[in-house]
Amino acid sequence: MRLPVEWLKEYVDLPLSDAELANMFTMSGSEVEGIHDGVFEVKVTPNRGDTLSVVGMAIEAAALTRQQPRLPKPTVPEDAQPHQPFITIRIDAPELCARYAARLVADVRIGPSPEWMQRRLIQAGMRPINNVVDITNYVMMELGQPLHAFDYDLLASKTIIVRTAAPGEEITTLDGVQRQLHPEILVIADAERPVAIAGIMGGAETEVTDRTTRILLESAHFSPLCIRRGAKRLGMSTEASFRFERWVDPSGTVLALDRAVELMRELGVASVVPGVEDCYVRRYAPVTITLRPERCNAILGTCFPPSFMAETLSALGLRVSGSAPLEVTVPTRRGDIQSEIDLIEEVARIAGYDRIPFELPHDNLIGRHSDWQLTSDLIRRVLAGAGLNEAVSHTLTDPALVAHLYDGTPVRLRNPNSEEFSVLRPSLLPLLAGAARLSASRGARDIALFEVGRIFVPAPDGLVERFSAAGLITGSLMGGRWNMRPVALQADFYLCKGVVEDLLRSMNVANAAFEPERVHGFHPGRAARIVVGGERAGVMGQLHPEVRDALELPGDTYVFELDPDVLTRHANPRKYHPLPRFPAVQRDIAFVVDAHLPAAEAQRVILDAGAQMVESATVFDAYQGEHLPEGKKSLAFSLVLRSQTGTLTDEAAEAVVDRIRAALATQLGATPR
Amino acid sequence: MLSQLDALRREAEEEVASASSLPALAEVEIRYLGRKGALTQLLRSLGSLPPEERPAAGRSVNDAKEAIQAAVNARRAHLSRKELASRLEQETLDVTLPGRAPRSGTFHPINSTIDRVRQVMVGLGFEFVESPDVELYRYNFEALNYPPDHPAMDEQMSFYVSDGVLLRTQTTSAQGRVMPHRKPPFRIAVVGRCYRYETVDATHNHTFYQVDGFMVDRGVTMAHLKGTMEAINKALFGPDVRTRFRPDYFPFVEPGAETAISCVFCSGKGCRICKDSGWLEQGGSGLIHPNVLRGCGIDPEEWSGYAFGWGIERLPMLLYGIDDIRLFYDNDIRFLQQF
Repeated sequence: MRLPVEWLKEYVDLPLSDAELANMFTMSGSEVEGIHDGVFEVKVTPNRGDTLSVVGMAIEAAALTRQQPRLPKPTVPEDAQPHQPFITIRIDAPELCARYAARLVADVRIGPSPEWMQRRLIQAGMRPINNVVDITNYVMMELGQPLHAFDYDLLASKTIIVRTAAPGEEITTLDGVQRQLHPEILVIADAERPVAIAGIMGGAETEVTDRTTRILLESAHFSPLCIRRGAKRLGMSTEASFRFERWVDPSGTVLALDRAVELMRELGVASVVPGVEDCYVRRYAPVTITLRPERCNAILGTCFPPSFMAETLSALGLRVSGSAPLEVTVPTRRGDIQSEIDLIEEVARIAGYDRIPFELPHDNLIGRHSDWQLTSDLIRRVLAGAGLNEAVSHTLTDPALVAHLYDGTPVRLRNPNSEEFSVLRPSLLPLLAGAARLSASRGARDIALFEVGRIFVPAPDGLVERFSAAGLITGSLMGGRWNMRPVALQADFYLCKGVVEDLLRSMNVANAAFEPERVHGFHPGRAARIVVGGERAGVMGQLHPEVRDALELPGDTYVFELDPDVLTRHANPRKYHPLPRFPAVQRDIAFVVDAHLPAAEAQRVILDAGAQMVESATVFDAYQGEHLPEGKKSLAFSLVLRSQTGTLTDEAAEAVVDRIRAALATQLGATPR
Repeated sequence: MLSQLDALRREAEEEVASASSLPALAEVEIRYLGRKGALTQLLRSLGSLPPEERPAAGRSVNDAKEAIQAAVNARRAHLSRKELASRLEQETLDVTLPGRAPRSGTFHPINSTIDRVRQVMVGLGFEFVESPDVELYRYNFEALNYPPDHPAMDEQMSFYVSDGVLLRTQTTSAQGRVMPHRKPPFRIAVVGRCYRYETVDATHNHTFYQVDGFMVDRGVTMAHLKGTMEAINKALFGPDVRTRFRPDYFPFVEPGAETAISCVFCSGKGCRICKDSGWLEQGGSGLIHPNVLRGCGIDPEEWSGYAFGWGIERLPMLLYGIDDIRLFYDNDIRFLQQF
């Protein structure tokens, strides 16, 4: 809300600079976000409809400076006799409209409003229209009560009915738009048709024009919820609806009418027809709330005396009696004060939060990170250590991007704000691929990324939210180094697998199996599922060349995605193994087998045949091609042999190796190389 | 014979001293001390001396032999050192060429910030819990004392997944999930993503990170909230930072507050970054509204609690001078490698 300071000072003495005044408001809850040429931009919180006016802010300022504000007390000449009824008001929806009042003015002379009024309206952010409209806007700005002016002679049967719209009803509003109404929307109707959308905007048919001679002025109290729902349904927000949504004082309805006609008379705009038609069907009475001073101090952590609390609340215009406890009567203006805690906040607000001390609680509560945070920390440390850069990508993403690497249907938002951010990521891989695409488009060739975060997997009854850890490598981890052999740390399947294995080792997950699998979006011969303890723990492999090209990635790209929950479930507790007491013997063996035989199979045969003697069997060479028969490959293993009971002799070691060779020959048809 | 020995010794020592390489020295050594060397020859000729002279002459020859051997050894050590020095000289590298170890990866600035915040809050006795991103309207709004269709939701426009299911707009949603299942006292924290229906620009995103903390115990006061926030901020920004509280409105707290820290760039004097106010807004806080406690089965007459929350991105933006919030989620490798 734009608050002209000079206008504010009409109601309260404020010998403060603009900066001091702004700070005073800010520190009491009405944040002044900007000051421009004597106008404050005030951010009014949604609970404080009462401060959406100059007078409302003046009451705040008066409380903060402990003064009495000078509130407008309009005088209207009235006849001694009861007035002639000029309108029949009927409220059909009393729960949506508690009060509806009207006044009539005649001899209307439409013209411009005086310069001082125009200036104030412009300062308040409103465009001057004509003297009638300007006066209604002026009173709304001054008192917070929206008013509406009807051309009295265009109202059918001189009747006002406040009711919900009938199905199919329509109205053309003042902005010239024809609007479809809905039974949830409250309207002001005459005997024949809706003439205004209650609390939101008037109708064009009964608009005040140059030809208008008599005006019916409306002032009402509408249900905030009703106006908000109506405005949302119509996609409208007006100065009036904004205020009604946030509470307009039901006791100020007639005051605003009086103020408006006073101004019209004083400024020679119209003559006042005596009498107010006031239909107040659901009466609001000031509520009285008990405030326990000890409770107030127990909540705030202060030692305010009860007299101070009483003084503070009285300064806000609340009526206080008693001392312990205090009985506080709240005017209807303050719809936000409904219980003791609201009064406690008012005491603190007006006293100033600065008067509350800084203290630390005394207790024995122990802090800790969540289990997931600890798992995630470990994964992040290992992957960053391996040379991958941590990414943080959006949860919301583009279904076209997802489709490259996910063959299901991701969960879609009901109300996305763009297609680009319309589905929830079911996997981290498409997002990492998207990030690599962006980096590649800006010239990067060596890209290594990882992310640890949540994924949202579609499920029969909606979705399952899970944790995930994923990585992507393309180019080299040693890119940009001088005189490197081209293959050094160049991304390939085994570099990627090495990163995964390193992570498994760090999590103390043993016996993970990498089994060939066809994975959507992956190279058909270079993809594996990772199985741990019989459970699927993730996938890894090379992106399909078509996917790589579609994403304009600079080269072959390798990815992995793991389920940290599965890994954690199968992680072994860490345990120390005693260091060996006897020396090891090292032997290498090389043999030729079918090219399709998985190396892991050969390793299994070696370990089985070697029984307890083989401490480790590690591939150091795998070769296929020249000097070997078609369909064959050579594998070379480095064996570490060790006995637990004594130093192994050469003869004993040779016997073990012979046993292994024999097993390889009989079980795998291996021939020596 | 003794004069012959002295001459031989002088001659040998001179040759050892002038041997300029290890092979030349070896040659000298053989010539004098070898099996057919001059000294060996001389030793053999001792037999021709009278028996009474033999022991003394033998001693003399052996003394000379040892002296020459010592000279040879010393010279050899000297020449070896010289040779090594000259080899090392030739191995000189250009130390200005760059290193070649694999470069270690980096942590995303948002997560590094979260790590710091976690460390500080765990130190202050907060127990971190996880709470879902995809949340029920009930926990995001209803349990937090939002009246239906209240204007307070204007700042919390939501993305919906289905009826009553949305992406949380605030991590405060954890309150309704945690509190009904815990007996006070407790002090909980949650950090994670929040989502709001907003158009994206340099300073706004539809997705952002928030951290929330709340505690419930007997006698928790506004003063405890102030003390806790101040402690967190001093740990994060240094002992001189000041924390300011001013009234603000959030349906789930009362009294409600907005916290700000003294500007970390100008120490509160006023600068471009704090728009001359001297303060940087941090987030919302307050005492948990009695309605929220009651809704979680906690009697507000017996227990009270505080709650606060703030956005994460602002911190690395200020700290590193990042001027566009979208950079965080682009994951441009050139951006990531800066941290």
